[in-house]
This record gives sequence, structure tokens and C-alpha cells, in this order.
Amino acid sequence: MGKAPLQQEEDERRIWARSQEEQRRLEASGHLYDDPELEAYIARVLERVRPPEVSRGDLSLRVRVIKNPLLNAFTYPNGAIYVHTGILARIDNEAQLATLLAHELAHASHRHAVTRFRDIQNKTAFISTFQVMAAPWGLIGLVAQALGTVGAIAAIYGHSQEQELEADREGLRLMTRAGYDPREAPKLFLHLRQWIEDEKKPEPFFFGTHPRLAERTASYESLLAGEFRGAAAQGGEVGGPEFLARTRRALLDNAVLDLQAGRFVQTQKTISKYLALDPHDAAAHYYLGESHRRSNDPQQREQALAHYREAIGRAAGFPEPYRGLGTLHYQAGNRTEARRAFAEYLRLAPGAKDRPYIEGLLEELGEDDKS
Amino acid sequence: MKRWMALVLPLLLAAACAPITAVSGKLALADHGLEVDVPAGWYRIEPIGRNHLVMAGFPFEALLLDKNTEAVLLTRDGLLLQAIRVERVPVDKDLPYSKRKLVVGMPVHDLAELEVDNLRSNHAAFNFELAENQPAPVAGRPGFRLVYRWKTKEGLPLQAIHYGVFDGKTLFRVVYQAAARHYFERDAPAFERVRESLRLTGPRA
Repeated sequence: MGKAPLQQEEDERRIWARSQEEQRRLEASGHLYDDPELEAYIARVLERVRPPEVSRGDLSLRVRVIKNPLLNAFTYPNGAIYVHTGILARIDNEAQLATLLAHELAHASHRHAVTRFRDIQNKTAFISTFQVMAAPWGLIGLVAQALGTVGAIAAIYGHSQEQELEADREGLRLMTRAGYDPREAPKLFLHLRQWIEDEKKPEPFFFGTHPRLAERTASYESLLAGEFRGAAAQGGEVGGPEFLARTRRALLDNAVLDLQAGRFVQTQKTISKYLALDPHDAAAHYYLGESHRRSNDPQQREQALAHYREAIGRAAGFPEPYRGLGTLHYQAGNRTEARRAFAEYLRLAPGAKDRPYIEGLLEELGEDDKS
Repeated sequence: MKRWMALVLPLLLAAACAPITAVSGKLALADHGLEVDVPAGWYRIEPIGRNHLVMAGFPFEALLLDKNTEAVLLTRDGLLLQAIRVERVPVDKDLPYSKRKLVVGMPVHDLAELEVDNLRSNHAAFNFELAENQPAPVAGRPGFRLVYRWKTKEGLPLQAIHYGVFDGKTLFRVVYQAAARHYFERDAPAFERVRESLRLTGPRA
């Protein structure tokens, strides 16, 4: 292309080396989501928004997906983009995914991370202080430990306001040039805001904080009303069906992560989205039942029962919903129903790992019946 | 920057000043409503405040100890190498990683599952793997026993045995964690003796 290769200064080389070390740790962490087809699809969308002037040789452009239900996507200075299943599960179509990837790509191609580090006076002290500060406290501490300093600073704090605005503008240019509908860009951030408002608890990441999402929405809306008015009038590709087909498995897997994390509203919204794609999926009904049961809200008990029954009706021989039914009946003091459901669970899953627990409960329920 | 350091330094100093005492024999903690026998050669680390920082390794990596819930924290060679922890968690206390809530009267399998959910939701634990989840009596009551492995971000393999039991409105945890190589097997019998010696002596005063 006749373009001179990227010339790095000493500090940039150090930041890249550190980024590569953090990425090696992340890749070996067991936190990456194993779905090569999904990653290949996201990589194709990234390639589509990549402008010719951004050489693959200059940046290690690639996308990896992290199993994590929180809203997050971030880029290392070398162009490696990491996207959480949490944010993928909340995106509605390919144009919105392209918005996110183009925004992150713009950060990498404009070397925002390096500028950001240079902006911070006394960088070594900042980094070591950040590590100590972040180490023990809550989600931010966990993120700092899992992602490393370079990744955590990008993921939590994002970049400067000017850099974010530049990434918004450049990202919008890239996704429009690739043929996507630019009107989807502000919808993405508005949509993410609605998700975090439901949870009523702030998330630690840049894309999970209300003010940052409000800034992005306003920024994209302003760009569409001005510089990109013509492109907005023209519209473009949205790419809903393929996106939903490709992310379908991640949607349910992310709902299970939300379930474990006790984020029941998010679990229920994600599974409802999944069920809109496949209303007959027994596993989805089972997990929806689990989310209602684990919420410990008496008002959700009937919904839990209904979804367990729906799961059983959809897939005869599916053992887990019987365990859920048994637990609900046990807690409600419905001993006959509890015993029947637990017995059916063990009949269908004779090798169940929790068999000793269930046998103990059956013994207790049996003895109780005799008394 | 100076403001950050001003926040950090007192915490590090507090960590450095953790009271560490050699103990052995019966340790009766009426305030926590429990008693345990401590093996000879082990040391007790006592939290001194609500958020007392102790640098160690996950789940104790830069652990914030709360003297209201941390009843016993023991080690023989250092917390990263091996630690025994007895913890008293009131039913209304939030779990550190999952927003699931403890509920009085929840069946033991459900309580064990909640603990596993909490551990799995800790994103700082690399390569978390649950090896065992089965019922086990704790202090004469029906409880559970978990065995799991994980790695620190530096790649150090750790392993834990984790018992839990509900007593009234309190979850009691008895957890042993150690470096998977050498230390885990070496000190597991001592831990089991501690766990077998646990007596719940009544509600917190």
C-alpha cells in the first residue's frame, strides 16, 4: 500500500510488550469463550469495517470473546479486541456489533492507549499504584487482576473524552463505509443504558456506566444530525437474522453466567430474548425456572413451576427441571410432590453428581411420610 | 497521585501490622459462637477492624478481613502456601461475588450450589474447576463439602476443601486452601482435624 510501517518509540514498545504479556495470561485463564464460529463471525465483521489504511501488519487485529456477563469490550494497544459475552447478549444486530468494533478499532488505529499512558504523569507510579489500589476491592479489583493493568485501564476508564469522541466519529465513518445503517449506532448505547438501569447497580466497566453510555448516545446522535446526516437518510444494512443466529448459543450461556452471579432480571431478559428465537427450547425454560426459583421471591414461585413444567413438556427425559420442582416443593412443605419430583430426577439421571444430596432428601421425606 | 498513595499506604501498613500469634490446642471464640482445636505449629492471624487488609492469594489475595465474620484464619508457612479459615456469615450478608442470597431453610444441595455459584462468579480465579460437591456433616449438622482448584493470575495452582453448614441464621464455612503442589496434601489432614473439632456453641452474643 506504499505506507510506511508503524514506527514505535521506546515507551510504546514497552506498553505493547506488557499488553502481550497480559493477553497471554488472559488466554490461559480459562475465561475465554470457546466458540470458534462466533469468533470467526465477529472477525469477519471487524474485517469489513477495517479501512485499507489500517494494515494488519501494524496491528495484531483480532477478536476474542470472554465468558463474563458484565457489559464490556476493550482494545489493547496492539489491536487485540476483547468482547464480553455480556455485551454480545445485549446487542440486537450486526450493525450494532459493527458500531462497537469500529469504535474499538478506531482506538487502536489512532493509538489512543499510548497517548493516554503518555498523558499520565509518572506512569510507573500510576501503574503500580493502580494495581495496589485495585487489588482487593470488588469488581474493579477482580478486573484488574484478571485483565492486567493495560487491559483494566482501557476496560474500566476508557480513554479521554476527546479520544472517545474521535473514536465515535471514526467508528461511525467506518461502519457507514462498510454499508451498515448508521442509525443503529446510538440505539446500541441507548439499549445498553436500558439494561443497566434494570439492574439498578452500576457496573465497573466503561460500557456499563450510565454517564459514559449517555455520552456515547448523545455523541452519535449529534454526528447523525450533522456530519453523517446524509448517510443516516440513506440507511444501510442492519444484519439482524445472521447476528442472532451466530450469537444464539452465547445468549443462553451468558444467561447462565448471569444466573450464577444472581443477576436475575438480566437472566430473565436474556432468556426471553433467546426464547423469541426458539420458543421450544427446553433448556431455556429450565434456566428461566431456575432464575425465578433462585430469586427467592415468593411471587416468582408460580413462574418457576410453570417454566419447569414447560421444560419437561418440551423434552421428555430432561432430568434437571424435576430437581428444581422437587426443591420448590420441598421448601413449600409439599412433601409428596417433592419426593415424587426428586425420585423422577434420579430415575432420569442415575449418575447425577448431586445424587447423594437427593438421596438424603428422599430419605428424609420418606421418613417424614412414615411418621 | 499523592492522594492515591495517601489512601494506599495506611492500608499496607495495617496489613503489615496484622497480629500473628502462635496458637495450639482449643481456641474458644464465644463471640463467634464456636470452638476449634488448632494443631501445633500453626499461627493465627487476627483481623483488627472491619476491612483489615491482608496480602495473600485468592480467595485471600489482598483479603479484606472483617473481624465480625472472620472467626479464625490460620497458617503454618504463610497464607499463600496454606490457610485454614473459619468464617461466620449472617444470612443477610451479601456474598462477595454473586448477588444470590442466603435463605434460612434452604436445602443443603441448594446451599452448596449457591456457594459454587459465588466461587464461579469470581472472575479473578483462573481455570476454576470444581472437583467434588457432596453432602458432609459439619459440627454434627448436615452440611456440604466442596473440593476445587484454580490458578492465580501468575499461574500458581491452588486447591481448596470447603465445608459449609447452616446453623440458625448463620452460614459457617470451614475452608482450607493451599498451593496444589506439596502443601495441599501435606496439610490436608491437619485441616480435617480442625474441621472435625469444630463445635458450634450458640448464637453470637
